[in-house]
Amino acid sequence: MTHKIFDKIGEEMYSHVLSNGLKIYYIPKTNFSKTFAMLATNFGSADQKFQMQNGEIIDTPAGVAHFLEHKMFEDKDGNALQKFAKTGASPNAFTSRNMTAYYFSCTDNFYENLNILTKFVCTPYFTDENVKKEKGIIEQEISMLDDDPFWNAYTNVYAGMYHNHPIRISIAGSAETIAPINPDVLYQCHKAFYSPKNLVLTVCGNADFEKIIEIAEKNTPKQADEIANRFYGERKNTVYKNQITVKMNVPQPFFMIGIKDIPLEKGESQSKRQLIGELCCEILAGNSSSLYNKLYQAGILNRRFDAGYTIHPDAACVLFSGDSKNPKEVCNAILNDICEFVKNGISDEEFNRVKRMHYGMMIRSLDQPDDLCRMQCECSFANENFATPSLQYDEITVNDLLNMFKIWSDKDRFTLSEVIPLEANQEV
Amino acid sequence: MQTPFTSSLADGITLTCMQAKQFKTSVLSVTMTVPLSKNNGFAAILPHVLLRGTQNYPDMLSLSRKLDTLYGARIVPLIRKAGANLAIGFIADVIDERFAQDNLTNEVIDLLCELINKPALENGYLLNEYVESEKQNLIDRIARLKSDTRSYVVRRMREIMYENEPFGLCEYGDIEQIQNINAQNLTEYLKEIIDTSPMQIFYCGSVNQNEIAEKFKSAFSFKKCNKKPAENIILPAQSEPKYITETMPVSQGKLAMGLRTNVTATDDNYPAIMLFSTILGGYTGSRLFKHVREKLSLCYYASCGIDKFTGGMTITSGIENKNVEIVQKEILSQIDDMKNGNITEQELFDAKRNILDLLKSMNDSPLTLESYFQSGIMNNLSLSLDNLSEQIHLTSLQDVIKVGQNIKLDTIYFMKGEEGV
Repeated sequence: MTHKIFDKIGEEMYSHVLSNGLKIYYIPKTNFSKTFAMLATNFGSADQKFQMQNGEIIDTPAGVAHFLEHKMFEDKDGNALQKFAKTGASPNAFTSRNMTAYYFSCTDNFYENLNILTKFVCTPYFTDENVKKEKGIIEQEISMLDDDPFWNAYTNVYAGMYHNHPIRISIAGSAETIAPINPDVLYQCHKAFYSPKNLVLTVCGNADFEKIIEIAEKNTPKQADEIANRFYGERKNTVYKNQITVKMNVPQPFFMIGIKDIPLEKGESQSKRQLIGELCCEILAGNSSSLYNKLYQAGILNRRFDAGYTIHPDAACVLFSGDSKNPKEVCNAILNDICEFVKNGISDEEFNRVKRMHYGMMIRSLDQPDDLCRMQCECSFANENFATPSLQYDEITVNDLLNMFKIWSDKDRFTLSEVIPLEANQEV
Repeated sequence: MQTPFTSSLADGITLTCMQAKQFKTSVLSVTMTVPLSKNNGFAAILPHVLLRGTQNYPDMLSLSRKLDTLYGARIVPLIRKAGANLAIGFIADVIDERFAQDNLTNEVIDLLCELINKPALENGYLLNEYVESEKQNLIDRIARLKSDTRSYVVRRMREIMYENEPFGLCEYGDIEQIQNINAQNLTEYLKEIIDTSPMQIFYCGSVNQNEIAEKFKSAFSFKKCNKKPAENIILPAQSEPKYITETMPVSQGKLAMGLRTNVTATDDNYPAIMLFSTILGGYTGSRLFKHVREKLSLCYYASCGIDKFTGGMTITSGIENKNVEIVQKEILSQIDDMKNGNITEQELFDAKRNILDLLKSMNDSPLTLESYFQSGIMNNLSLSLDNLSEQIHLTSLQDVIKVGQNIKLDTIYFMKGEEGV
């Protein structure tokens, strides 16, 4: 067992690795009422094609990770959601492009809940009947997403940026891609990715770490399979399409602009890249940027404008989203301001001011046990921890940001995804 | 549980303080309450215009840069509709001083006060440029409500159900009225609400409540008249429910049902109606989740919630168009079954656990506490989490069944997806 204290940010963490490879973390928050637990696998919608240790290559339908997330709750002795309902816990799960996570929060009966969580995630139970039944539910979830302008813009910006990386496909897949999903493929994915070597358990709140370890040890398998390889397609520097436009039930265009960055290099710190990416976003397009203020004043952006940096398996990008009567103008302004930074640099005043702002945001995120657990799981997949970035602020220099802006300053890395009103005259 | 400390800073100004040392984030809010009316547009635009600039920070850029130096403190416009009232103002969050510098909270309070007391002016009026641009933003916002179909159906159903009550009014006002706003009449409106509207201030963080009180006292030395928020008048349900179907160019149909319980937050029966709603559709162990979703596979979500100020119960689900009859029938038969007394002790026990867990969890989120207490105070209600938890404990199966028998279906709204979309 390891105990680390992060004085600067007022946090601490206990960690332990079981002999089967499961990593366990506990972040105490003893003054909080609830305790939050998350069990996550680094298997997301992007992990469609992979190779097992025995050489077998498996290619799965789009949406299988998300389908599996729905189906994991089912057990021979009943549905785990119903077991949680009896303890007063609030359970849920999500699938992203990078990971699948199962979690609950509760103010009472923590160990009973942890027992339910670790058990159901490690016990697959799929039948033709229960798989078929789930399709109706997931079809309605997909239908709901299909009507969501944000989701459409989000899915399309990836479809535009990437030529053949599976992140270009919607996380849940479509009614067509999930149709052939059967118990076999679900068992196959579970065996490959829900092995303790791929799982991370993080608890935040009030608990006894020894007891957490004990429950995890009891419920996770002794033996663990390992993935040999994952395939994400051939890398390309430029985007597949510069623009994707769809028409929907919106009164004015909603856009997402993506800039394709280079994937994380081997040995590069994920949290440092993330931090540099976020600082670039703030300096370029944050509330105190000249870009945002200029475009807001001109009536081209409103308060919903947002910018964020994301790292995926074998991919990384920055996304800008918002409402605008003229998304193309936003796109041009972004490229223009990036080039200005590359040309003129960033002043120390600006760099330090934005760094201080970002530090304040980071500290505040530590109050959310759910965010904290997700952060720790993601960091753990990259062999780092949630406190790593707090120590990296001083390492980062203006040049780190300028180097990133240099990569971004290429219009062939840009994709504009827009959702425009149904009655609009489309010009592409 | 956390207990707030509420005090009166001056006539019509209430301060609610929760001293908490477990958070790294402090939350502050300042709102003024007006009755929901045809004037909602004037109220809703104000925080947006005020946030464009003050006398010391005349534009968004200088204001944002100031906030950067306060460790990224955030100040966002707040427009809150609850009961028959509308509260407008700002909510701020800032890193707790223990992790930054002294006086950080004071600086944020200064900014909040400046936004209300010293807006940027030209010739004595708010800036025309800011007013015109925020008018457009507000009009766009109203137009966008339809794009979020999941929340829009609930909004539309309530608009129909409460067409003769203030709660049916849109908190953003209507487009025609917004077009009549100008720098002069908006400035006058600001003066009027500063003089007459009750003000609610909230703070949750590590700073001592007396310090916070002193700080706000010196900043807001208004003399207020007309200090009471509007009373909510709740009408009985229609003798026959209204059925309304409208079409939208979307693929999924959405159902929203409005029921009247006539039980509100201060009613002795309120815990019982909360339990009824939770058993019916409040969590994953509820009847709607187990039957409509899990058993019949008809939807991804089907849930039920209760509004504590109007006693309105809202049931909502996203479904295939062709299934609207079956879903409706299933929901109504579950309600009837519960009204007929077929609720088990186990169902009641599980629902109690669920509610108690949620109530206790609220203590971990300053933002949730802000919304809970401020929405009560803006309606002149003093709500207590401890009391509510205790009452939930004591509620019997008979209480739940009895209160359920008075629930009346009022409005069924179905937003039908258009074929071929």
